[in-house]
Amino acid sequence: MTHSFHLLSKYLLLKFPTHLAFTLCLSLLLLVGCSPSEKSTVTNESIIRVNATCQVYDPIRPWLKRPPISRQAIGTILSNNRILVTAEMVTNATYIELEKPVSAAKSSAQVEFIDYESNLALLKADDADFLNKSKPLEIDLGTKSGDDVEVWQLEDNDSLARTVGKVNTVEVGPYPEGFGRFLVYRLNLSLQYRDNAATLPVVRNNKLVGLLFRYDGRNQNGAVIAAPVIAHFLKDAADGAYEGFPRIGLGFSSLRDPQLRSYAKKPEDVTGIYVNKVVKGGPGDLGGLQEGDVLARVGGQDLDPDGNYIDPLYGKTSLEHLVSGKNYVGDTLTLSVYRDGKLLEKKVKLSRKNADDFLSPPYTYDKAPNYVVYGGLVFLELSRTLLKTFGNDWVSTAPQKLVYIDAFQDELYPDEKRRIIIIGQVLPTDGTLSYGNLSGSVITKINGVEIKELSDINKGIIARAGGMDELQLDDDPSVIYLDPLVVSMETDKLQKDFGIPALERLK
Amino acid sequence: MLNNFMRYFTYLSLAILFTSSFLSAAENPAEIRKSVIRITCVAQNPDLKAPWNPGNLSKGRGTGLVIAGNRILTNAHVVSNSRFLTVERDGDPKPYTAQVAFIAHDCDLALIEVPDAAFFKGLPALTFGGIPSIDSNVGVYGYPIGGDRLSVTRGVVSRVDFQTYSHSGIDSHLAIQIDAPINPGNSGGPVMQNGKVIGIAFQGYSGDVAQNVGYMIPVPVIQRFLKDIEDGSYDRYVDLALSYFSLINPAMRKAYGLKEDNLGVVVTSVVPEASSDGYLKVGDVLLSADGRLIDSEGSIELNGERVDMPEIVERKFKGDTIAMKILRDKQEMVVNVPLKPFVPYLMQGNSYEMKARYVVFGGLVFQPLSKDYIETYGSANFRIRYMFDQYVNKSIFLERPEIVILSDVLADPSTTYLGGFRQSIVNEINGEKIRSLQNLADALAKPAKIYVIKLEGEGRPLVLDAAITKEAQPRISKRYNITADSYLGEKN
Repeated sequence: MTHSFHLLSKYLLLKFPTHLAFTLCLSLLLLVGCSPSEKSTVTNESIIRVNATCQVYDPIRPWLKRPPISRQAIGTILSNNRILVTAEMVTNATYIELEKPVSAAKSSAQVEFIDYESNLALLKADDADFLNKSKPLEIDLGTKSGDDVEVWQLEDNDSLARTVGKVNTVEVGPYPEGFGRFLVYRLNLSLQYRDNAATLPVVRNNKLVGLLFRYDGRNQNGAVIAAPVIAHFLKDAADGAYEGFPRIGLGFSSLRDPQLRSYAKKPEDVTGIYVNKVVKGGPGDLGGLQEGDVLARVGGQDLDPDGNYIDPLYGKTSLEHLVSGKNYVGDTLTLSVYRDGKLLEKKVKLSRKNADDFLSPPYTYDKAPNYVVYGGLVFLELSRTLLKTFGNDWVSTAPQKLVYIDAFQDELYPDEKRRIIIIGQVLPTDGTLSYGNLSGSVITKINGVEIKELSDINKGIIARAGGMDELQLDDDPSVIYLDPLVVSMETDKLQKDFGIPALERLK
Repeated sequence: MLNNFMRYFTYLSLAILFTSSFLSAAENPAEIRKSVIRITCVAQNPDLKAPWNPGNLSKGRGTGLVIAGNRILTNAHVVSNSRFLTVERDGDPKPYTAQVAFIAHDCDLALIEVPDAAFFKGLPALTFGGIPSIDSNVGVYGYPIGGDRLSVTRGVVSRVDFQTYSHSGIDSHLAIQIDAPINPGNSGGPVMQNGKVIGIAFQGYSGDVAQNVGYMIPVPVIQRFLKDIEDGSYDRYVDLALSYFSLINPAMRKAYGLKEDNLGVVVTSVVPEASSDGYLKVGDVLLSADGRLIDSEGSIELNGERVDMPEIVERKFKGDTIAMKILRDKQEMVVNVPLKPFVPYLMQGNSYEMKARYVVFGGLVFQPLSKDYIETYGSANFRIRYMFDQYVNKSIFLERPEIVILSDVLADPSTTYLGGFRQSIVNEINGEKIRSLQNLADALAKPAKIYVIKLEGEGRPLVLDAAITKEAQPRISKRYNITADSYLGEKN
């Protein structure tokens, strides 16, 4: 045997906890007393302290919640007595408390709408009269680069501290969730550290222009969720049914390369981008777009070879804002494409693929994870949240097979809505002797029943024909067995020893 | 000078042992030292970042021992990629020029010859012993770091087990662990007991990983190598090319209808087109190999030691068979499996004695995927990592004997917009599937107006205008000092 073939693939146990979900929203460095903030005589009736206690389910032992942590922020009061904060601030919140400056009056609150991708959440006080005397801020959509804006904070004595900064750039960029790109104002400002850190309102002429969500003290740069993104969120939420930012389901690449341009048969007198990916069943696919099309215009706006349009306020701006930022789920966009040199007008009805619709959901928050425990094996749904428990370097440290599934998920089961079910953990019992290295394995069948979602585990167990449960894995070994008699004998002890209150959670 | 012998795996440095147990009549260090040779090797290692260059030179030092027939035995890693080799005898300042006669990278052994017969005058050939018993004394002879003269260290045999041989990184054989200090430069030197060679020191852990853990290649591996080359060529190890899983779990034993006798392992995968394909199947329970019982962890007893079952395959040669008693569908039967070497996995190991293979077309540089490639270019790209990791497991080698990668795009007016394609896997050129570097060279040699290169996971093709590329080629070759626009390997 000249190679180590007989070594079984040994995955590390999926048990390295990190606090990724808890990463604080602002990396504020201490900058004592050097900021040009000015005291305002304007009272602080438009903002409110928000304290959130957040607790996340342990992705590996989903019957447990991790220890609570708390976050503080300054919320902005909008019309209808709603309070705007970043989504990060209240993700996985188990208790939210509002506190008025000066009077220190308090009320508990609930999250009414939350969008993790655009990093926005709307809160509502449980005490309906709590905000009656406040002064809601309006939204100002006109901010552009070069404008001066104020970041609002509260002093310890509850007076308002306003720090002036300049908008350097308005661009489409990544948001903290890393899923979708949205409009960002980049600020130059020197911000003093104050307790209430995690979300700060950005204001111009007493109108809200954005929420500060990142601040880099060393370079004195801030990143702000831009007003058009907030307005989109609010408008979407106005009818009570929040749908989220729409997608078009297309991938693009630049058409600067003259060799690719002539291959794509792009007419000389138009500019545009190359469609390099059409998501199956997505809006672009349903609208009749094909890989290799040259996309020249979106909703009547010309595109340059890098996929920018000319925005009246911001100048050259990425197509993503034009598609997702200015339209809603259900809207129809007209795309002008050149195929084999001929112009085609395609109507595309925008829709959205929610996190839950992915094979490996890109994020799973505010939900108790599903699981099934059977005979010492803990079955879990693969998600990026689960992979991220391996730490910041999860791409290298998580079981590689699972990382590949996550990375290539579009290509795996394009026609099916399903999940990947894995053995997340092997609890050591007599029944799981020698199975210790199987955590991280994908389970494909139990007693012949295909496992496409977690509830299939029980269907498989019911389908048992012989005396043994036969579990098929996409791994080496490809088959393992459990003895149902041993499983039932051990179950009580297993629950007691490992503190598992229920053997499953299935929604 | 010695440090390039330490460049092996991070924690493995190489060492050698030589010793006698207490000075028995049979063991006279003054006699042994005559036959312990100092080897100096200048090696040239390919540079995959500039594959057209001959590669960088490095110099290293190791040890060898004289065996019957005026030959010197040493480790393969001491003389790998050698361009110039010299040997020196203890107490003789003259270096003699030597050459590699046989080299076996899969078991880290090499045999070198010295054209000047005068070198061997007065040098007794060392002879081999067997597998030493645990806790017996051994001595390590060699020329390790710390001085120029012969060094002897002493210790005991700690353990006999299968180990990965770090020279190739993918081969595991029997290795014997000793606690005598082994240091860089000991590599290739004899480990002695009662005047006989019982092993060749070859690798060990550095002190910050584990204390006093050194390894030697035991006599069965050495003798297998010497026997393999008797016909004038080295054929490599043979391999069952299957994986198995222990049958310790009671439910597993029950499901396969096994008794509570702690015997048997179950086959969990069989590599297509390799030795076991067509003979053994997934789900077969392996009960014995050539009559030796296989326990539920996959061990057999050999020479009084419990060793991994593959050890019995280890001692065989191309064309030999192994008699496997198996339980298939609860029926016992004996299957004779003819054995052959398993080649595809070599892609995942370190390679030696090979010039870098590549094709330069315009400003595009293409190379086949290999372990060396991953080490040179890193493995940030998911698709390359996947192909490399799963090459054998998912039998990718059947479909793609070679994974061809666009490794670099040399900056030139003709490639201005192509930089983003670096580190992509080539799937197709003008509709032809690319399954090897030769395929790629052939596809690009066909006249065409444009070359449309499709890359794995990339919706946009790379389009090359043939006229522009042809015009650019001499300019690029001159600018980047590219001496030849391809090297595809020796023609058969």
